[in-house]
Amino acid sequence: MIGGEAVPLAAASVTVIGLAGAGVVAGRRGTRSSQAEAQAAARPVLFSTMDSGVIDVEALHRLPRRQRRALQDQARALLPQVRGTDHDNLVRLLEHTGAIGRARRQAGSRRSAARARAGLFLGAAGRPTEMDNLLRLLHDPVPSVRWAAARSLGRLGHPGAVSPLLASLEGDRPIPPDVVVEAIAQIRQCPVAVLRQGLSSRSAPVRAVTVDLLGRFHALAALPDIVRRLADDPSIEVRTRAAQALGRLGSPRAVDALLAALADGPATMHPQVVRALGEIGAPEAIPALRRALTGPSPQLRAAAAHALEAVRAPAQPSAGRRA
Amino acid sequence: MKTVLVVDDDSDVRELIVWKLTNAGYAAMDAADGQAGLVAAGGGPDGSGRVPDLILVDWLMPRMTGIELCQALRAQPATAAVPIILLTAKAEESEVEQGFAIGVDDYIVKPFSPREMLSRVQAVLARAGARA
Repeated sequence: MIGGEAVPLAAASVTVIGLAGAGVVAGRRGTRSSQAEAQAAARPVLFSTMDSGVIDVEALHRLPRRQRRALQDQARALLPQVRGTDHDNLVRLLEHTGAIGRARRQAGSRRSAARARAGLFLGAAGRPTEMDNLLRLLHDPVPSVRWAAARSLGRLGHPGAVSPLLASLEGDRPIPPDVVVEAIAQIRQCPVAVLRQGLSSRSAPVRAVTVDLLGRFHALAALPDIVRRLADDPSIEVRTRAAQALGRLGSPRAVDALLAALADGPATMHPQVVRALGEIGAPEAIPALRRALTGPSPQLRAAAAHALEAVRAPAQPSAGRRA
Repeated sequence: MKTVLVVDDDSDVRELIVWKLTNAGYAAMDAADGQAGLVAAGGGPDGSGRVPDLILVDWLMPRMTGIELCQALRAQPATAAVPIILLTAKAEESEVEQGFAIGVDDYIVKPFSPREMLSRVQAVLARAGARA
Protein backbone atom coordinates (compact mmCIF):
# COMPACT_ATOMS: atom_id res chain seq x y z
CA MET A 1 0.00 0.00 0.00
CA ILE A 2 2.94 2.23 0.67
CA GLY A 3 3.83 1.93 -2.98
CA GLY A 4 0.21 2.62 -3.90
CA GLU A 5 0.21 5.87 -1.91
CA ALA A 6 3.56 6.88 -3.31
CA VAL A 7 2.23 7.11 -6.85
CA PRO A 8 -0.49 9.70 -6.14
CA LEU A 9 1.96 11.53 -3.87
CA ALA A 10 4.56 11.67 -6.64
CA ALA A 11 1.88 12.75 -9.11
CA ALA A 12 0.76 15.46 -6.69
CA SER A 13 4.39 16.62 -6.31
CA VAL A 14 4.81 16.78 -10.07
CA THR A 15 1.57 18.78 -10.31
CA VAL A 16 2.70 21.18 -7.58
CA ILE A 17 6.15 21.60 -9.16
CA GLY A 18 4.52 22.03 -12.56
CA LEU A 19 2.12 24.66 -11.25
CA ALA A 20 4.94 26.42 -9.42
CA GLY A 21 7.04 26.35 -12.62
CA ALA A 22 4.16 27.70 -14.65
CA GLY A 23 3.75 30.39 -12.00
CA VAL A 24 7.42 31.38 -12.32
CA VAL A 25 7.17 31.52 -16.13
CA ALA A 26 3.95 33.53 -15.94
CA GLY A 27 5.59 35.76 -13.32
CA ARG A 28 8.61 36.36 -15.56
CA ARG A 29 6.35 37.09 -18.52
CA GLY A 30 4.40 39.50 -16.34
CA THR A 31 7.61 41.19 -15.19
CA ARG A 32 8.83 41.46 -18.78
CA SER A 33 5.56 42.95 -19.98
CA SER A 34 5.35 45.42 -17.12
CA GLN A 35 8.99 46.33 -17.79
CA ALA A 36 8.12 46.92 -21.44
CA GLU A 37 5.16 49.08 -20.35
CA ALA A 38 7.40 51.09 -18.03
CA GLN A 39 9.95 51.58 -20.84
CA ALA A 40 7.25 52.67 -23.29
CA ALA A 41 5.85 55.14 -20.75
CA ALA A 42 9.29 56.60 -20.05
CA ARG A 43 10.36 56.96 -23.70
CA PRO A 44 8.59 60.25 -24.54
CA VAL A 45 10.31 62.00 -21.61
CA LEU A 46 13.67 60.47 -22.53
CA PHE A 47 13.50 61.19 -26.26
CA SER A 48 12.13 64.70 -25.92
CA THR A 49 14.93 65.52 -23.44
CA MET A 50 17.51 64.15 -25.90
CA ASP A 51 15.92 66.21 -28.63
CA SER A 52 15.47 69.53 -26.86
CA GLY A 53 18.13 69.44 -24.16
CA VAL A 54 15.53 70.76 -21.74
CA ILE A 55 15.18 68.63 -18.64
CA ASP A 56 11.53 68.71 -17.65
CA VAL A 57 12.05 68.23 -13.92
CA GLU A 58 8.33 68.05 -13.20
CA ALA A 59 7.73 65.41 -15.86
CA LEU A 60 10.62 63.39 -14.45
CA HIS A 61 9.25 63.59 -10.92
CA ARG A 62 5.78 62.67 -12.11
CA LEU A 63 7.10 59.36 -13.44
CA PRO A 64 6.44 56.47 -11.05
CA ARG A 65 9.60 54.86 -9.64
CA ARG A 66 9.53 51.91 -12.05
CA GLN A 67 9.29 54.22 -15.05
CA ARG A 68 12.10 56.44 -13.72
CA ARG A 69 14.28 53.33 -13.48
CA ALA A 70 13.24 52.27 -17.00
CA LEU A 71 14.19 55.75 -18.27
CA GLN A 72 17.64 55.49 -16.70
CA ASP A 73 18.18 51.97 -18.09
CA GLN A 74 17.26 53.10 -21.59
CA ALA A 75 19.38 56.22 -21.29
CA ARG A 76 22.38 54.12 -20.22
CA ALA A 77 21.78 51.69 -23.09
CA LEU A 78 21.58 54.50 -25.66
CA LEU A 79 24.61 56.38 -24.37
CA PRO A 80 27.26 54.38 -26.29
CA GLN A 81 25.07 54.26 -29.42
CA VAL A 82 24.62 57.96 -30.09
CA ARG A 83 26.84 61.00 -30.50
CA GLY A 84 26.43 64.71 -31.08
CA THR A 85 23.87 66.97 -29.45
CA ASP A 86 21.53 64.11 -28.51
CA HIS A 87 24.44 62.43 -26.69
CA ASP A 88 25.32 65.62 -24.82
CA ASN A 89 21.69 66.07 -23.79
CA LEU A 90 21.57 62.45 -22.66
CA VAL A 91 24.65 62.97 -20.49
CA ARG A 92 23.05 66.06 -18.92
CA LEU A 93 19.94 64.01 -18.15
CA LEU A 94 22.00 61.20 -16.59
CA GLU A 95 23.90 63.76 -14.55
CA HIS A 96 20.58 65.18 -13.34
CA THR A 97 19.29 61.75 -12.34
CA GLY A 98 22.50 61.05 -10.42
CA ALA A 99 23.57 58.11 -12.63
CA ILE A 100 26.95 59.64 -13.50
CA GLY A 101 27.73 60.45 -9.86
CA ARG A 102 26.87 56.86 -8.93
CA ALA A 103 29.17 55.53 -11.68
CA ARG A 104 32.03 57.69 -10.35
CA ARG A 105 31.52 56.15 -6.91
CA GLN A 106 31.28 52.65 -8.41
CA ALA A 107 34.65 53.16 -10.09
CA GLY A 108 36.04 52.69 -6.57
CA SER A 109 33.78 49.76 -5.69
CA ARG A 110 35.18 46.57 -4.16
CA ARG A 111 33.31 44.54 -6.79
CA SER A 112 35.28 44.25 -10.03
CA ALA A 113 32.11 43.89 -12.17
CA ALA A 114 30.85 47.22 -10.80
CA ARG A 115 34.21 48.88 -11.53
CA ALA A 116 34.22 47.53 -15.11
CA ARG A 117 30.63 48.69 -15.68
CA ALA A 118 31.45 52.10 -14.24
CA GLY A 119 34.52 52.35 -16.50
CA LEU A 120 32.50 51.62 -19.63
CA PHE A 121 29.71 53.99 -18.59
CA LEU A 122 32.06 56.88 -17.80
CA GLY A 123 33.79 56.37 -21.15
CA ALA A 124 30.47 56.40 -22.97
CA ALA A 125 29.54 59.62 -21.14
CA GLY A 126 32.58 61.12 -22.88
CA ARG A 127 33.49 63.79 -20.34
CA PRO A 128 37.22 64.64 -20.44
CA THR A 129 37.00 65.16 -16.67
CA GLU A 130 36.65 61.38 -16.28
CA MET A 131 40.15 60.81 -17.66
CA ASP A 132 41.79 60.49 -14.22
CA ASN A 133 39.21 57.93 -13.06
CA LEU A 134 39.79 55.89 -16.21
CA LEU A 135 43.60 56.12 -15.98
CA ARG A 136 43.34 54.76 -12.44
CA LEU A 137 41.21 51.85 -13.66
CA LEU A 138 43.82 51.15 -16.35
CA HIS A 139 46.02 49.75 -13.55
CA ASP A 140 43.26 47.74 -11.87
CA PRO A 141 44.25 44.26 -10.64
CA VAL A 142 41.35 42.67 -12.61
CA PRO A 143 41.88 42.31 -16.41
CA SER A 144 38.24 43.00 -17.39
CA VAL A 145 38.37 46.34 -15.53
CA ARG A 146 41.63 47.31 -17.26
CA TRP A 147 40.17 46.42 -20.67
CA ALA A 148 37.02 48.42 -19.94
CA ALA A 149 39.17 51.41 -18.96
CA ALA A 150 41.27 51.10 -22.14
CA ARG A 151 38.18 50.96 -24.35
CA SER A 152 36.68 53.94 -22.54
CA LEU A 153 39.87 55.98 -22.87
CA GLY A 154 39.65 55.33 -26.60
CA ARG A 155 36.03 56.39 -26.63
CA LEU A 156 36.92 59.55 -24.71
CA GLY A 157 39.34 60.35 -27.54
CA HIS A 158 41.74 62.53 -25.57
CA PRO A 159 45.25 62.59 -27.13
CA GLY A 160 46.73 62.56 -23.61
CA ALA A 161 45.63 58.92 -23.26
CA VAL A 162 47.99 57.66 -26.00
CA SER A 163 51.15 57.40 -23.85
CA PRO A 164 49.42 55.74 -20.85
CA LEU A 165 47.70 53.28 -23.19
CA LEU A 166 51.03 52.35 -24.81
CA ALA A 167 52.59 52.01 -21.37
CA SER A 168 49.76 49.68 -20.32
CA LEU A 169 51.18 47.06 -22.70
CA GLU A 170 54.13 46.55 -20.35
CA GLY A 171 54.56 45.64 -16.69
CA ASP A 172 52.93 43.07 -14.43
CA ARG A 173 49.38 43.77 -15.58
CA PRO A 174 49.60 44.19 -19.34
CA ILE A 175 46.58 44.89 -21.52
CA PRO A 176 46.33 42.77 -24.72
CA PRO A 177 47.77 44.57 -27.79
CA ASP A 178 44.53 44.39 -29.80
CA VAL A 179 42.56 46.10 -27.01
CA VAL A 180 45.13 48.93 -27.01
CA VAL A 181 45.12 49.16 -30.82
CA GLU A 182 41.33 49.40 -30.85
CA ALA A 183 41.40 52.08 -28.13
CA ILE A 184 44.08 54.31 -29.65
CA ALA A 185 42.61 53.92 -33.16
CA GLN A 186 39.53 55.77 -31.86
CA ILE A 187 41.58 58.81 -30.79
CA ARG A 188 41.13 60.87 -33.90
CA GLN A 189 43.64 63.53 -32.91
CA CYS A 190 46.23 60.97 -31.96
CA PRO A 191 49.65 62.68 -31.88
CA VAL A 192 51.58 60.65 -34.45
CA ALA A 193 54.88 62.08 -33.11
CA VAL A 194 54.13 60.57 -29.68
CA LEU A 195 53.13 57.34 -31.33
CA ARG A 196 56.37 57.12 -33.34
CA GLN A 197 58.38 57.15 -30.10
CA GLY A 198 56.90 53.70 -29.47
CA LEU A 199 58.91 52.34 -32.40
CA SER A 200 62.12 52.59 -30.37
CA SER A 201 60.63 50.91 -27.29
CA ARG A 202 62.40 47.85 -25.91
CA SER A 203 59.01 46.18 -25.54
CA ALA A 204 57.94 44.13 -28.58
CA PRO A 205 54.17 44.60 -27.87
CA VAL A 206 54.67 48.40 -27.81
CA ARG A 207 56.51 48.33 -31.14
CA ALA A 208 53.89 45.98 -32.62
CA VAL A 209 50.99 48.20 -31.56
CA THR A 210 52.83 51.32 -32.75
CA VAL A 211 53.48 50.06 -36.29
CA ASP A 212 49.92 48.77 -36.51
CA LEU A 213 48.52 52.18 -35.52
CA LEU A 214 50.83 54.12 -37.83
CA GLY A 215 49.28 52.12 -40.66
CA ARG A 216 45.74 52.75 -39.44
CA PHE A 217 46.40 56.49 -39.16
CA HIS A 218 47.94 56.50 -42.67
CA ALA A 219 51.10 58.07 -41.27
CA LEU A 220 53.07 58.18 -44.54
CA ALA A 221 55.85 60.18 -42.88
CA ALA A 222 56.61 57.11 -40.76
CA LEU A 223 56.99 54.82 -43.80
CA PRO A 224 60.83 54.55 -43.60
CA ASP A 225 60.58 53.58 -39.90
CA ILE A 226 57.94 50.95 -40.63
CA VAL A 227 60.06 49.55 -43.49
CA ARG A 228 62.98 49.25 -41.06
CA ARG A 229 60.77 47.34 -38.58
CA LEU A 230 59.66 45.04 -41.39
CA ALA A 231 63.25 44.30 -42.37
CA ASP A 232 65.01 43.76 -39.09
CA ASP A 233 62.85 43.83 -35.98
CA PRO A 234 63.76 40.92 -33.67
CA SER A 235 60.04 40.15 -33.14
CA ILE A 236 58.12 38.36 -35.91
CA GLU A 237 54.88 39.88 -34.57
CA VAL A 238 56.29 43.39 -35.11
CA ARG A 239 57.48 42.50 -38.62
CA THR A 240 54.09 41.00 -39.50
CA ARG A 241 52.22 44.07 -38.26
CA ALA A 242 54.69 46.27 -40.15
CA ALA A 243 53.73 44.44 -43.35
CA GLN A 244 50.06 44.97 -42.55
CA ALA A 245 50.72 48.68 -41.90
CA LEU A 246 52.53 49.07 -45.22
CA GLY A 247 49.55 47.51 -46.98
CA ARG A 248 47.28 50.06 -45.30
CA LEU A 249 49.58 52.93 -46.31
CA GLY A 250 49.31 51.70 -49.89
CA SER A 251 52.54 53.35 -51.01
CA PRO A 252 54.52 51.82 -53.92
CA ARG A 253 57.66 52.96 -52.03
CA ALA A 254 57.21 49.91 -49.75
CA VAL A 255 57.15 47.31 -52.55
CA ASP A 256 60.91 46.53 -52.61
CA ALA A 257 61.00 46.00 -48.85
CA LEU A 258 57.93 43.75 -48.99
CA LEU A 259 59.41 41.69 -51.85
CA ALA A 260 62.61 41.30 -49.81
CA ALA A 261 60.57 40.15 -46.80
CA LEU A 262 58.81 37.62 -49.01
CA ALA A 263 62.14 36.30 -50.24
CA ASP A 264 64.11 36.28 -46.98
CA GLY A 265 61.69 36.80 -44.07
CA PRO A 266 60.19 34.09 -41.85
CA ALA A 267 57.45 32.02 -43.51
CA THR A 268 54.85 32.91 -40.84
CA MET A 269 54.77 36.52 -42.03
CA HIS A 270 54.53 35.69 -45.74
CA PRO A 271 50.69 35.67 -45.98
CA GLN A 272 50.57 39.18 -44.50
CA VAL A 273 53.34 40.40 -46.81
CA VAL A 274 51.44 39.03 -49.81
CA ARG A 275 48.21 40.72 -48.65
CA ALA A 276 50.11 44.01 -48.35
CA LEU A 277 51.45 43.69 -51.90
CA GLY A 278 47.90 43.10 -53.08
CA GLU A 279 46.64 46.18 -51.25
CA ILE A 280 49.37 48.32 -52.80
CA GLY A 281 48.54 46.86 -56.20
CA ALA A 282 52.09 46.87 -57.52
CA PRO A 283 52.41 45.12 -60.93
CA GLU A 284 56.14 44.44 -60.27
CA ALA A 285 55.03 42.07 -57.49
CA ILE A 286 53.18 39.76 -59.92
CA PRO A 287 56.04 37.22 -60.47
CA ALA A 288 56.58 36.86 -56.68
CA LEU A 289 52.82 36.56 -56.10
CA ARG A 290 52.62 33.85 -58.79
CA ARG A 291 55.38 31.90 -57.01
CA ALA A 292 53.45 32.30 -53.74
CA LEU A 293 50.47 30.58 -55.42
CA THR A 294 52.41 27.33 -55.06
CA GLY A 295 53.65 28.15 -51.55
CA PRO A 296 53.67 25.66 -48.67
CA SER A 297 50.69 26.93 -46.66
CA PRO A 298 47.03 27.21 -47.70
CA GLN A 299 46.88 30.71 -46.11
CA LEU A 300 49.75 31.87 -48.30
CA ARG A 301 48.21 30.39 -51.44
CA ALA A 302 44.79 31.98 -50.67
CA ALA A 303 46.40 35.35 -49.90
CA ALA A 304 48.41 35.17 -53.14
CA ALA A 305 45.32 34.40 -55.24
CA HIS A 306 43.46 37.31 -53.67
CA ALA A 307 46.44 39.65 -54.07
CA LEU A 308 46.91 38.75 -57.73
CA GLU A 309 43.26 39.53 -58.36
CA ALA A 310 43.70 42.92 -56.65
CA VAL A 311 46.88 43.73 -58.63
CA ARG A 312 45.25 42.85 -61.95
CA ALA A 313 42.07 44.81 -61.17
CA PRO A 314 43.20 47.63 -58.90
CA ALA A 315 40.52 49.35 -56.82
CA GLN A 316 40.08 53.13 -57.06
CA PRO A 317 42.77 54.63 -54.82
CA SER A 318 41.35 56.49 -51.83
CA ALA A 319 42.10 60.21 -51.67
CA GLY A 320 45.30 60.94 -49.82
CA ARG A 321 46.28 57.31 -49.43
CA ARG A 322 48.85 56.96 -52.15
CA ALA A 323 52.25 58.58 -52.26
CA MET B 1 3.99 61.58 -46.35
CA LYS B 2 7.12 59.45 -46.96
CA THR B 3 7.33 56.11 -45.19
CA VAL B 4 10.55 54.84 -43.63
CA LEU B 5 11.08 51.28 -42.41
CA VAL B 6 13.57 50.82 -39.55
CA VAL B 7 15.06 47.34 -39.11
CA ASP B 8 17.18 46.98 -35.97
CA ASP B 9 17.25 44.29 -33.28
CA ASP B 10 18.22 46.83 -30.60
CA SER B 11 14.86 48.05 -29.34
CA ASP B 12 16.27 51.19 -27.72
CA VAL B 13 17.92 52.37 -30.94
CA ARG B 14 14.93 51.31 -33.04
CA GLU B 15 12.45 53.21 -30.87
CA LEU B 16 14.68 56.29 -30.86
CA ILE B 17 14.94 56.34 -34.66
CA VAL B 18 11.19 55.77 -35.06
CA TRP B 19 10.48 58.63 -32.63
CA LYS B 20 12.87 60.97 -34.46
CA LEU B 21 11.40 60.10 -37.86
CA THR B 22 7.82 60.51 -36.66
CA ASN B 23 8.67 63.84 -35.05
CA ALA B 24 10.21 64.97 -38.33
CA GLY B 25 6.98 64.23 -40.20
CA TYR B 26 7.69 60.79 -41.66
CA ALA B 27 5.50 57.72 -41.30
CA ALA B 28 7.72 55.15 -39.59
CA MET B 29 7.38 51.38 -39.55
CA ASP B 30 9.73 49.08 -37.67
CA ALA B 31 10.92 45.49 -37.54
CA ALA B 32 13.08 43.75 -34.95
CA ASP B 33 14.97 41.41 -37.29
CA GLY B 34 15.88 40.81 -40.90
CA GLN B 35 13.11 38.32 -41.65
CA ALA B 36 10.40 40.61 -40.26
CA GLY B 37 12.03 43.50 -42.09
CA LEU B 38 11.90 41.66 -45.39
CA VAL B 39 8.19 40.90 -44.93
CA ALA B 40 7.37 44.48 -43.88
CA ALA B 41 9.38 45.94 -46.77
CA GLY B 42 7.46 43.84 -49.27
CA GLY B 43 4.12 45.22 -48.10
CA GLY B 44 3.39 42.72 -45.30
CA PRO B 45 2.72 38.94 -45.34
CA ASP B 46 0.29 39.15 -48.30
CA GLY B 47 2.17 41.95 -50.07
CA SER B 48 -0.87 44.21 -50.04
CA GLY B 49 0.54 46.83 -47.64
CA ARG B 50 2.58 49.90 -48.41
CA VAL B 51 6.15 49.47 -49.62
CA PRO B 52 8.36 51.96 -47.75
CA ASP B 53 10.07 54.86 -49.53
CA LEU B 54 13.32 54.19 -47.67
CA ILE B 55 14.70 51.43 -45.45
CA LEU B 56 17.17 51.90 -42.59
CA VAL B 57 18.94 48.63 -41.83
CA ASP B 58 21.28 47.72 -38.99
CA TRP B 59 24.29 45.69 -40.15
CA LEU B 60 24.69 43.41 -37.13
CA MET B 61 21.55 41.42 -36.45
CA PRO B 62 21.07 37.78 -35.42
CA ARG B 63 19.84 35.15 -37.91
CA MET B 64 19.80 37.47 -40.95
CA THR B 65 22.48 40.17 -41.08
CA GLY B 66 21.85 43.61 -42.51
CA ILE B 67 23.94 42.74 -45.58
CA GLU B 68 21.88 39.58 -46.18
CA LEU B 69 18.69 41.59 -45.78
CA CYS B 70 19.91 44.20 -48.28
CA GLN B 71 20.73 41.46 -50.78
CA ALA B 72 17.26 39.95 -50.29
CA LEU B 73 15.64 43.38 -50.70
CA ARG B 74 17.53 44.00 -53.93
CA ALA B 75 16.41 40.57 -55.25
CA GLN B 76 12.72 41.24 -54.47
CA PRO B 77 11.02 43.18 -57.34
CA ALA B 78 8.87 45.31 -54.99
CA THR B 79 11.91 46.58 -53.06
CA ALA B 80 14.68 46.34 -55.66
CA ALA B 81 14.76 50.11 -56.16
CA VAL B 82 13.91 51.26 -52.62
CA PRO B 83 16.81 53.31 -51.19
CA ILE B 84 18.63 51.70 -48.27
CA ILE B 85 20.73 53.30 -45.54
CA LEU B 86 22.93 50.91 -43.59
CA LEU B 87 23.58 51.53 -39.89
CA THR B 88 26.90 50.03 -38.95
CA ALA B 89 29.55 49.94 -36.27
CA LYS B 90 31.93 48.76 -39.03
CA ALA B 91 33.76 51.77 -40.38
CA GLU B 92 36.54 49.89 -42.15
CA GLU B 93 36.97 50.87 -45.77
CA SER B 94 36.50 47.33 -47.08
CA GLU B 95 33.24 46.89 -45.17
CA VAL B 96 31.85 50.18 -46.42
CA GLU B 97 32.83 49.12 -49.95
CA GLN B 98 31.00 45.82 -49.41
CA GLY B 99 27.86 47.76 -48.46
CA PHE B 100 27.99 49.97 -51.54
CA ALA B 101 28.78 46.97 -53.75
CA ILE B 102 25.44 45.36 -52.92
CA GLY B 103 23.53 48.52 -53.71
CA VAL B 104 23.27 50.37 -50.39
CA ASP B 105 22.65 54.10 -50.98
CA ASP B 106 24.32 55.49 -47.88
CA TYR B 107 25.65 54.36 -44.53
CA ILE B 108 25.71 55.73 -41.01
CA VAL B 109 28.42 54.72 -38.55
CA LYS B 110 27.47 53.93 -34.95
CA PRO B 111 27.70 55.70 -32.55
CA PHE B 112 25.53 57.90 -34.72
CA SER B 113 24.11 61.38 -34.52
CA PRO B 114 20.30 61.16 -34.75
CA ARG B 115 20.24 64.65 -36.31
CA GLU B 116 22.73 63.63 -38.98
CA MET B 117 20.65 60.49 -39.55
CA LEU B 118 17.61 62.67 -40.32
CA SER B 119 19.64 64.78 -42.76
CA ARG B 120 20.83 61.66 -44.55
CA VAL B 121 17.29 60.26 -44.74
CA GLN B 122 16.15 63.55 -46.24
CA ALA B 123 19.06 63.65 -48.73
CA VAL B 124 18.64 60.05 -49.87
CA LEU B 125 14.88 60.54 -50.32
CA ALA B 126 15.51 63.74 -52.30
CA ARG B 127 18.02 61.92 -54.55
CA ALA B 128 15.56 59.07 -55.07
CA GLY B 129 12.81 61.58 -55.87
CA ALA B 130 15.02 63.30 -58.43
CA ARG B 131 15.82 59.93 -60.05
CA ALA B 132 12.16 58.90 -60.30
